[in-house]
Amino acid sequence: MVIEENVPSIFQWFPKAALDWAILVLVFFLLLGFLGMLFSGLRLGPANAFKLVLKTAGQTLRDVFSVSFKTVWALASLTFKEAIRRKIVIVFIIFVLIVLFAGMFLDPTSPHPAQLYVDFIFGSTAYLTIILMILLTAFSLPADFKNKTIHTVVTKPVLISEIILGRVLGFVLLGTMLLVPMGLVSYGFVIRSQAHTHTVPDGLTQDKTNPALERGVTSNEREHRHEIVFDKENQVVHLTPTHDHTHEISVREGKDGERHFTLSQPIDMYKARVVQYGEIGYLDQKGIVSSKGVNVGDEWEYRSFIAGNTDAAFIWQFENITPASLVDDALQFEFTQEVFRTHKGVISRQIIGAFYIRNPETGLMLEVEIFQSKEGGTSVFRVPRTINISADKMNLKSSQRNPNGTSGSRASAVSVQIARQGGELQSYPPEDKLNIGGANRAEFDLFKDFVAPQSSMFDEKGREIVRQNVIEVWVKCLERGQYFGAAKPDMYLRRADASFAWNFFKGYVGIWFQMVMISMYGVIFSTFLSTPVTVLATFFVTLGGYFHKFVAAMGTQNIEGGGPFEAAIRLFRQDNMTIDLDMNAGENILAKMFDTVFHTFIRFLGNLVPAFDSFDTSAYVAQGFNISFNTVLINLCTVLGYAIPLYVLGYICLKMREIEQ
Amino acid sequence: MAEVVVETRNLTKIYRDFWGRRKVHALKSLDLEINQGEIFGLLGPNGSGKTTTIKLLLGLLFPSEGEALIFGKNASDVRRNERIGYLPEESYLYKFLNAEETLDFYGKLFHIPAAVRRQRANDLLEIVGLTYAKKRQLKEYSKGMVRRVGLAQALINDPDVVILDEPTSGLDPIGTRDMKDMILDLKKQGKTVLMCSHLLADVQDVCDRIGILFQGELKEIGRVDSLLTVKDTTEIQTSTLPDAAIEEIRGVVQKYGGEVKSVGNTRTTLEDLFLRIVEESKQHPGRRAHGGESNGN
Repeated sequence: MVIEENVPSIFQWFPKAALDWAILVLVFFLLLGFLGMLFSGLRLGPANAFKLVLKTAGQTLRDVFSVSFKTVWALASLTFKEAIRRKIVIVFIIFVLIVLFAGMFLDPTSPHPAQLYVDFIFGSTAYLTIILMILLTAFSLPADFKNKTIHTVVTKPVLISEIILGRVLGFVLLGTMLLVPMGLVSYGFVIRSQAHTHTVPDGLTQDKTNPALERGVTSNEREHRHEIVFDKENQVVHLTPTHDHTHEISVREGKDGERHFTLSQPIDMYKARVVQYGEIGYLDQKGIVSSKGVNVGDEWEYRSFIAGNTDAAFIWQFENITPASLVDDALQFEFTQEVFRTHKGVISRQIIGAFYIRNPETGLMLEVEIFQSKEGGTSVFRVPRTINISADKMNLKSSQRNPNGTSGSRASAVSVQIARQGGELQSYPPEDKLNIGGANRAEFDLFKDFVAPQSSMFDEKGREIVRQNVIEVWVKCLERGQYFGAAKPDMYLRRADASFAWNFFKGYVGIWFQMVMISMYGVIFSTFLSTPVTVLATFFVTLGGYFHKFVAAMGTQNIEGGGPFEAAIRLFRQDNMTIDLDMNAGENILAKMFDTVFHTFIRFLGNLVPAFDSFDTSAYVAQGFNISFNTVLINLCTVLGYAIPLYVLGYICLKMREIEQ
Repeated sequence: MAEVVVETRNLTKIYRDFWGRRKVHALKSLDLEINQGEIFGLLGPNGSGKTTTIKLLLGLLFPSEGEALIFGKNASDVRRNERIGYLPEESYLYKFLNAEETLDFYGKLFHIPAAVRRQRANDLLEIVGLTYAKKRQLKEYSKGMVRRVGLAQALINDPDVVILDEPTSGLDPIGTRDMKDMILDLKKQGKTVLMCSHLLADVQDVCDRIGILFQGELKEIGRVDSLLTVKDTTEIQTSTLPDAAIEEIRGVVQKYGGEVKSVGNTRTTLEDLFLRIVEESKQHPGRRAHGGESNGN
């Protein structure tokens, strides 16, 4: 299970995003000013319309920046009090009821119970909050207009901007006040719901194949059992993890000589893995660098495949590898793979693969582990800081650097060859041809020997990228006729875990961001729409936010079958959408022109709404990945980026409106 | 000469439909000046433009032409509102608040310090007679009580100009009298009051000057006493006279070429009668009041 995290550092992201934002906002308001001038020009004449727009712009700038916090707070408190007096707390009661009865409709046999419960709890919190916010915001200002209570507010020294901010702040406060207890209840529910332990009712029995081992199973709790293996020689007991957790197990020998096993509460069930992703590259079957692997016919081209028992390999480059990257004095890589079989293979085991580390500069390479694939599961590879080849059963290998690395390819990986005969890994090029500094050594230091202080490579555009403290990780499939499939995030370096509670909180911050955005849109729409229309408009904006990627895709011209006009022509002519349109140049240009206008409009619409799904970080919490601080900061900046122009827009809408009408 | 605090210049309001077509010409070129310290009444039948004028002054409507100024500033300058109190036609207040919270909320909008706010709220609730009900939510109030809270909120900032839209609407006769007394009190404090009403008696009782609007046009403006003086009629009020004396007076009038149009007892107003009965009932609970006979008839 992996999560595609492609979040840049806030420092990398911010300058470009801020510039894009400034340009977009400027264009948006210039467009608004132009439209304002156009419409008022019809009634007032161009000169007066120009003056009016200038005056409005000046007043807007003055009013949106000169708000009094005291006034905003008074209005926010009013909004808050109104919602409380209208018994909004009932939403929290509904939530508690949902949580209380959740156990009745959540699948008890799920192999990933933690994920199921966290998903459920975040889903219900988000849906309840979103529905509540849509309705509350839609009823606030329109009700003020309908009851004319706004008359007694705007006739006080209150700016329109303060009314907008007061409303939004009130709803945000209210949402926060609801989310805090919901979060606490949720956390307690998630943790408590999976609390259990097991007994070992039937004791252990002698292993049939290995007399040094005894085996047994635990009692069935929450629809699962664990297998227990007891190593009599070393007096070590091992518990097989299942359902995303294990237990600490202790053995006590009773007076009767019987062994008694005590299992702790689940451990490792709720985690927040801090992971580092690398850059992926591929070697094709001849060991030549390729931009992607083999396509095995999946419609979804997320993962690329490498053929088994060839020179094909996945190569990940991880940078900034320092002692701080170690967990328990080892680098821990986790790898999720998909397997494509062209034949059944050996029935008693999974597909065999190999995991290597490599110094991208010296070419020194080490086979860390030969492993069996885990389809749908995650393989874990530990690379200790001090590597003893014989003790760790690792094989030293070498690979030659290609001095003539071409641009557009991975310079350090071009023509890397691993000698192979009959599918077995064999000896490697002689030491004197390699710059590995003593390949005969039995002991290696991870950082000195496998981490290159600096490594350069070329990106797709031929630009050289220099990285610091880089290590390469290679994965190969070793069985002929079988394929491994992986994408960039399938391999990650796992660092020390973060706190699950803190991660849970950050997940709730994601819901909070969504709630803030919906409050903003709701209040802005309610400045010029009636309640039912505001509900609909906010609902559609929310929907658009969740399907942002789809909307963005509609705004591009790469849709098969073309835009609506081209598609209409195809429908009319009954042309297949995969073939070129059989039209003369004029018709073609006309259709493309209309479609371009449509695409531009959709792209514009798409930019008016943020991608709500990017705020939704519950999947990270559910799947046990840490939500990086960068993600939270970028989301916060995105919220602010939308909130600021929306606030100004809301001000203009309300200012333009005759309160009495 | 007193300072002009409220002023309209060529103030015009035309209501249009969605397509910009003219629907109603609600106010036509109104020029008006109201001086500091006077009570000015806008009179007119329903739809004459009274409330439109007030809303234009307060910025609740945008003028189609002309200007509406208070303290020389138009509605876009909200700082002028610090010196204005407004009681709407119906008290548009938040019904989920109680009276104390209502005044506190509006006080906050004026940035009045908390201690002063509390003190002023208590004083105003005392003045409007709602101290006993200050903890009850407004949704439990009668219309008259809400109206009183409305007045209190209009005065929370101790304004220099008070604008009252139908101030006695919804009030019982006692409330009406109280309201009129309060308006006169405001004048004593040097405040300027602009009120509009179609209850002529109320306007007559309290206003220094009035303007009469009809179909959006100002038809008459001036001091109440001079406007109401009927110049070709003389009125003499005396204590009750015997019939002989009346006949003698009739002769004197005829001798000087005059004509006696009516002779009889002075009639009180229904409002006075009602207030007398209520007062008497308060003083003698359980006894039938004689308000109607107590005037000597």
